[in-house]
Amino acid sequence: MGASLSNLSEVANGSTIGPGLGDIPESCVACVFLYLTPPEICNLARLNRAFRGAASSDAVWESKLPSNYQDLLDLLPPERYQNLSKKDIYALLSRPVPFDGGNKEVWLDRITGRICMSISAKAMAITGIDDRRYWNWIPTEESRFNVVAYLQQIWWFEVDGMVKFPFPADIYTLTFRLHLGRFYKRLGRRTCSFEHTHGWGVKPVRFEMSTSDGQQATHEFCLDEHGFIDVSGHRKRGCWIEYKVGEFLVDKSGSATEIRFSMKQIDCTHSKGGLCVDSVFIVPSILKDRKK
Amino acid sequence: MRTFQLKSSDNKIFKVSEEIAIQSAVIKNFLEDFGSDSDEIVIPLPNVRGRILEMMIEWMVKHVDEELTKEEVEDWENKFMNDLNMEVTTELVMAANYLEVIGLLHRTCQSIADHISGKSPEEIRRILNITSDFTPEEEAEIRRQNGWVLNPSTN
Repeated sequence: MGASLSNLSEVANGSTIGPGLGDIPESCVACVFLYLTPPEICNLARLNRAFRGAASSDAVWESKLPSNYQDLLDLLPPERYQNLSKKDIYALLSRPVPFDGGNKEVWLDRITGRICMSISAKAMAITGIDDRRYWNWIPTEESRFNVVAYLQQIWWFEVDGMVKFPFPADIYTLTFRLHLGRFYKRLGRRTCSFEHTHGWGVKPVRFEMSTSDGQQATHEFCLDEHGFIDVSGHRKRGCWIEYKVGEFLVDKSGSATEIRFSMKQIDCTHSKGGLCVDSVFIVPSILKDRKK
Repeated sequence: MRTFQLKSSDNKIFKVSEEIAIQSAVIKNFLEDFGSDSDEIVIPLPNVRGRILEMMIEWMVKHVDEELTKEEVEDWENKFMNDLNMEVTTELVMAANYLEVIGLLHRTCQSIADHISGKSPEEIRRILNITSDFTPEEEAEIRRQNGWVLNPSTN
């Protein structure tokens, strides 16, 4: 762009065949890329040189990064991101960036560039966690943090956590990732044991969340109401399930939102146990809908 | 209101008012530099053929029509784009790029994006008749560089 008319008239003329997409200049390809997703852009880099040039252009990738990507970079040592192109920054931030001592992670959804977060049980306040009769930490590859909290049995079941982060404007869904029963790997095969699993069908667990600007949500779930299979035919035991606590809205980017979340079953007339607690996920609701 | 004549590569003449023509940043700059009140100005556009120029003017006329609501303009844009094949759309992209008609540039680029979204590079090459100007080594290198987003499992 920026050609003057005198330059225009110097351009050779007389070609009666219209241009193909292969002839369009890099700046136009970059404009097309504004409307495509990062995987599509990378895929198109090998069409020809104009596509390859546009596929590494900072202007294209800046438009794919969230407005506050600098907040994510600030969690990393500067030598990890200095002198990187915007595309490499996008690639860097699409991988989990640990913070708060490595027990929380934030990353960009590869396709939309939206911000996702996970918070390990390690970062939560769990009642009785230091008493090995109640809770144990189990190392496992099934958690992105490589460890989950396993509840053997307890009367007062309470897990609380919080996170403060400058989320960009969006609607987010908060979920707890839980697993009924304990799992093992034997000779390469995964098996589950439900020897401690009890008490979850008596009363529902209460899930709550609230934000620093006054949004609240509550949900109750019976974790084991119908034993192995729930009403809709889904297995409830022996697999990871994400329980949705609620949604919250961030209506303007730029300031930090504090989110508190908890799950409780504190009816001490019965004990409960045999449950793995992995993490809490905070993910843009639109990505949750897409998965369905 | 001044009017001007735009001349296409195939020597078709289009009379347009200043209000319409200055949606092109290039024509706007040209007229400011020219600084004449003459109606006789003929602006040659040697790399835009008549049919494409006519469509651009149709676009620009719609976008100065103050009687249309935003929704009506959007509906009109969608219909305008739906009626075009990829070849004409591409010509419009290039013309809008040369003359800096930003709204048209973005809308036509969006249309191309919609068209190629979800297709493999091989399909796109075939459909749009694009030949690769890379050596096999260069192409392998590009695949390697872009692996992070195409193959999440390799991270």
